[in-house]
Amino acid sequence: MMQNVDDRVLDIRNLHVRFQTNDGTVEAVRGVDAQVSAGECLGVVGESGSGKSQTFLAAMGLLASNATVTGRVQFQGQNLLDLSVRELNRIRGSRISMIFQDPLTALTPHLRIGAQMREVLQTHQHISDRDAQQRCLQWLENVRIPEAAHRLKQYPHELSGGMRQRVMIAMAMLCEPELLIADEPTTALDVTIQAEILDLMDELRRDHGTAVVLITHDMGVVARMCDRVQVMRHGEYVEQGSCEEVFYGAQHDYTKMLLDSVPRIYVAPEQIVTADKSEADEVAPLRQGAQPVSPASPASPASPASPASPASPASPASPANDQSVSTTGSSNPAETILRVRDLRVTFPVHSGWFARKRTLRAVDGIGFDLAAGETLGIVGESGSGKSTLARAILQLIEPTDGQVNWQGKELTVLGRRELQKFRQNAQIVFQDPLASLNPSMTVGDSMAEPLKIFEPGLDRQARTRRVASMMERVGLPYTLINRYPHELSGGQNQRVGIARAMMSRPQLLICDEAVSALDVSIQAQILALLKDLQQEFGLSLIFISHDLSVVWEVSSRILVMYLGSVVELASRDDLFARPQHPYTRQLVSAVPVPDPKVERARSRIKLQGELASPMDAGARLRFLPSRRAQLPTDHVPLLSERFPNHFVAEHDPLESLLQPQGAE
Amino acid sequence: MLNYAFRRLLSTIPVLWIAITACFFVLRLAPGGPFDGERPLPEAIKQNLAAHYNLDKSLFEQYIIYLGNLLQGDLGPSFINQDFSVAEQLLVGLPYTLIIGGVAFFLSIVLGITAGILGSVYRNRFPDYLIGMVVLSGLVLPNFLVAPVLQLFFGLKLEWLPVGGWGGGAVSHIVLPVVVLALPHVARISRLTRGAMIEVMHSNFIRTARSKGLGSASIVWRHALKPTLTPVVSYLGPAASYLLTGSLVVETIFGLPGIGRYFINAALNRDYGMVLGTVVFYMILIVVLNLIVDILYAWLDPRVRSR
Amino acid sequence: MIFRKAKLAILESVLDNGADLAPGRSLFQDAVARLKRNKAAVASLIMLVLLVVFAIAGPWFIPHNYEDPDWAAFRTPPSLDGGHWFGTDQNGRDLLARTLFGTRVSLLVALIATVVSVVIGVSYGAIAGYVGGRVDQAMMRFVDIMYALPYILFVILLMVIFGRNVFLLFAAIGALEWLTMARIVRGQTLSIKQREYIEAARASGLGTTAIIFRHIVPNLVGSVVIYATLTIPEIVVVESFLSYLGFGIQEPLTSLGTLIAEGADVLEVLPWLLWFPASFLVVLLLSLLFIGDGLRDAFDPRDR
Repeated sequence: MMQNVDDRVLDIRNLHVRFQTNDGTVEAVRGVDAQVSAGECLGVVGESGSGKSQTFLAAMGLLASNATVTGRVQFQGQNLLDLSVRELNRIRGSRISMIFQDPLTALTPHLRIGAQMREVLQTHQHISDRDAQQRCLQWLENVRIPEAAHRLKQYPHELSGGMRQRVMIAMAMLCEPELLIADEPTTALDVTIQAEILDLMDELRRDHGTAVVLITHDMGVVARMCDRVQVMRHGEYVEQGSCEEVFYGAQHDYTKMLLDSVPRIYVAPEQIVTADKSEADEVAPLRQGAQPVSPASPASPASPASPASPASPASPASPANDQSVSTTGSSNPAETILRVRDLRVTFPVHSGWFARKRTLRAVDGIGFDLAAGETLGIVGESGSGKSTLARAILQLIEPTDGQVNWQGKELTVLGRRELQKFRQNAQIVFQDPLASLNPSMTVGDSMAEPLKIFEPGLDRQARTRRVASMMERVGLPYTLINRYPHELSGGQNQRVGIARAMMSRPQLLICDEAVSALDVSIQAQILALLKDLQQEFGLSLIFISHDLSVVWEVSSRILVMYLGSVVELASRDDLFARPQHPYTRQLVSAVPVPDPKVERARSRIKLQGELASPMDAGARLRFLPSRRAQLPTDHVPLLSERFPNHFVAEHDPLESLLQPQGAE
Repeated sequence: MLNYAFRRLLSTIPVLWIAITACFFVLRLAPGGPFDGERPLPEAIKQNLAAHYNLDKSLFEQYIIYLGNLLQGDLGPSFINQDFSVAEQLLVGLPYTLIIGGVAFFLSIVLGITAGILGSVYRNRFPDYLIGMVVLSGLVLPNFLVAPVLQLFFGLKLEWLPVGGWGGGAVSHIVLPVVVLALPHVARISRLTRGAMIEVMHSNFIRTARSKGLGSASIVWRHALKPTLTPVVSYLGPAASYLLTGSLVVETIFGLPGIGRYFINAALNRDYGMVLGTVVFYMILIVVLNLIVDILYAWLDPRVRSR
Repeated sequence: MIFRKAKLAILESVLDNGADLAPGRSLFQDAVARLKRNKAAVASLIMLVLLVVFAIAGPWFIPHNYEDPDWAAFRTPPSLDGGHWFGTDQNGRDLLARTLFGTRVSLLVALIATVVSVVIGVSYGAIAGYVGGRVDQAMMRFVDIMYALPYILFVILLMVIFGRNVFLLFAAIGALEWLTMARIVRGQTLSIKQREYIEAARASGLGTTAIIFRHIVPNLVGSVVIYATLTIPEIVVVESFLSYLGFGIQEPLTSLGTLIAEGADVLEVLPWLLWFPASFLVVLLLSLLFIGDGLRDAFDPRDR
């Protein structure tokens, strides 16, 4: 892709950013060049600390006062770094605008949406209040916010995360800027909402010819959105080129490693039982002998005839109003070590002293079996109750109702001492590596603690020896034994977390978003470690994540959760080969695949409505609108075994749930 | 908003009730009655007095009578100055205390916030250091030290201002008491404001505002000020009660006839009725001020209201 | 496998010798290092230590007593050769001895009251934070109420009832100064409780007491130390304030507040009677303030 110099909107040359800190000068960006042309989308990829955000914050003059910026940032014939704040303010928000990662904190909490949008127009264009109001309304509609006029009068905290990010985009686009800089715009959002926001940005770029800089850590997002890619590491570009060049012909080892680390969902072609073969054939193979998942095209009216057709609402379901079906993947029931039946966890929600109490049903009638040595993946978006489920299984939260059966013993009725025995056998690894270690204890002491409890007979030296050998096992140099968590990297701390969980030689390890806070290269290492440990110790794993591709990477079976209940449960390959439930299909179709050709050929399933809150009683029937009138609002959709060992919650046909085409 | 204010108002009633009850019983259960002076009184007079002040009734009856009177605005009798009831004496002193306290309160807020904002805007530059010095002196110089020193310099040495007295409310008589009363609160409020402003200026939504091309005045006033003021506003409640305590010293040193002086005199003379009445009165005042502060808080932060 | 065994053997020998294991630096050690770099805090610390040593040891080296008058020297201005370096008061008592004694009393009051307030505040806050829910709401509502009330009035009230007992004064001030400590500790406990390492400890079967003492309390130390340092000057001021008004330390005992009260009355004629005790008080407060600020910046190194 040749770049015409005249098209260039932004031209960064030899940019350096240095921060003055207490510990001396830190050079965050070391001589970076970047060019963006009109209508182009430039992807800037890198892991945390690579300086990718700093580069563009520096270009916008938005860095903290302890930063020194040198180099050139050419925008429309002027060097932005030479401008005074007053001159810069004429460009910021009007000709270059920016959107940020966290849409909750990025909007001023005490100002109404309308006021925050109007001030952009009033600052840059001298137009009347009425015209400004009109433009804001128009843009809220452009980003497809329902009830736009009402939203203008609301405060940010009254909007959902996806809505807020749409508002941010509308606000950034108000003056129709030549350049839009998006700094991790979808990282804080659920994957289905991410898909919508990305589509929206792509559309705006095409319609308005806006140049876009997309800063992200997610190779899948890059594959979907970008024309050109620049890969950044330690404040420098290690590789740049067109999207195809970088994805299919990466030169630099770091880029290759980055691409290799990303988990990719693929299903062997013979396994694909897609509703319409034609689409599967259209898609280019991702790897040799492998084929990406391609959900049935929503536009195809022929699909209901296939065996994958949604069950009629009257299909036989389990007799009780719960989702507990014997759902183990293994045929031998003796292997089952954990059996969960009709598990419920509810929390009372107080809203003030006088308001009436409401109940949040975080986990709502979940049942499944777990066999020894298997990995069950649990996937769900925020608010699906997956973390609560993990804690309820381990009895860290008392379940409101239902059974958790561990090797024939009912945990919910166990006394303290017996529970202790169970705890030795079941451990948990958490999301935030730093927060899951006591900051005032050395990592060695943290790891030794379970030994003190479960093997009180050991003396100090024996404990140290056990700790050291476990450190060795999880790939930590034993010299770190006396270090404190804040002295270690995120990946190292997560290894400590895993080592601590493994100290008591458990049979079950629950990983609650255990790799979600890590960079993808570290993530790949930790996943490999978990698989190794599973092999060596015959562990059963419950792997919980919002990230479908990570779950795919480690799981043998996958359970999809939505608002506290199961919507689909099947073996991994079966689930991806023939996803049945509309929600699963939407989820699968929303995950960006780190391969530009595949990614751009895919079509996405868009369902009506927003992701619902667990407080919203009617939300459970989102996939059963046809029976909303007959069923009680707290009805939990029943599971049925549509294929052998493939369970699906009742739902209406996918076609009736799709977003009307007119909304596009 | 009105609903919120009403709910707040309702929740202050039990607060007041508990505090008043506690004070009443602590005083009544204390060893020694009000008339156990150095000179023992004849038994007959004692009984007469006890009957007059309802001291012969059971404690619970006394409590009910006290609460009943309180609801009618009667704070009970004074045991020393028997010609006037507590409420009458307090009404005489109230205007002085309210004027001095009110002006000092207002001044603390205005000066404190202004100094805090200036300090954060000119952070680590000359104006910030200058304000920092004043703040520091406000923090470490107690009012009972500042007052006599100011009296000496402005009153006796320079003879610019009167050393004490009310002087019919002339500005020159009010200046020194108000300055002494306000100084520590100017310091605290400005420190709070500066810290909060610096923190707010680092928040994400300020970065958004800057990326929108807004000028710094608009960023400070429209976006940063309200969230900056939230910690300041929550300090105003305690500040009001510190001001009242401060007025005890200030009124004593400057010889002002406010309720602080009545209270000190009553306490030194062990006038139980007066002490109880004044404390109860102070509490009502403070609780009402706190109610106003709470409502102000809800106005500043829309998220509080929906809670 | 053989390889790993060999490696383990090496490791064991290393471990047994205890060699080559780089010791880590805890957050606490980090904070101390940061504090050492804070010049104002270090200078204040030296100043404070000097003041304390002087107040405690000084009286042994002075030929005068804090209560006995020197019949030969009434109202003597300070001078180096008269034997009364700080001068004497109207009763011929040596001001240096009195100031040192007053500093001692003020510090003692502050120390005892701070300990009382730390004990009450930490237990109250930790319980509210750890138990949480309704109990927490009720306990914190109570603190809010107390916070809004002018507590010095209560101290005065208590003084009126129970007479001027110095030890009661300590207790009363301490018992009323714990509110902020309780709030801070409760907030910290709440946030620590939500940390995943607490859940990890529970998942490893650790009991509640062990969790509180091994995982929560050590992580509270920083904020408790900081706030306790900031409480001391506040109590010194409160004590002086009460003494000044005539509710605190009484003759023949004395404190900085009492001395200042006496000095203020005769400021025009015997100015040294105010200046010396006042300087001691201000230096004391100033150094405590800087130490507290320094500690806070050291433990919580955010950009301020």
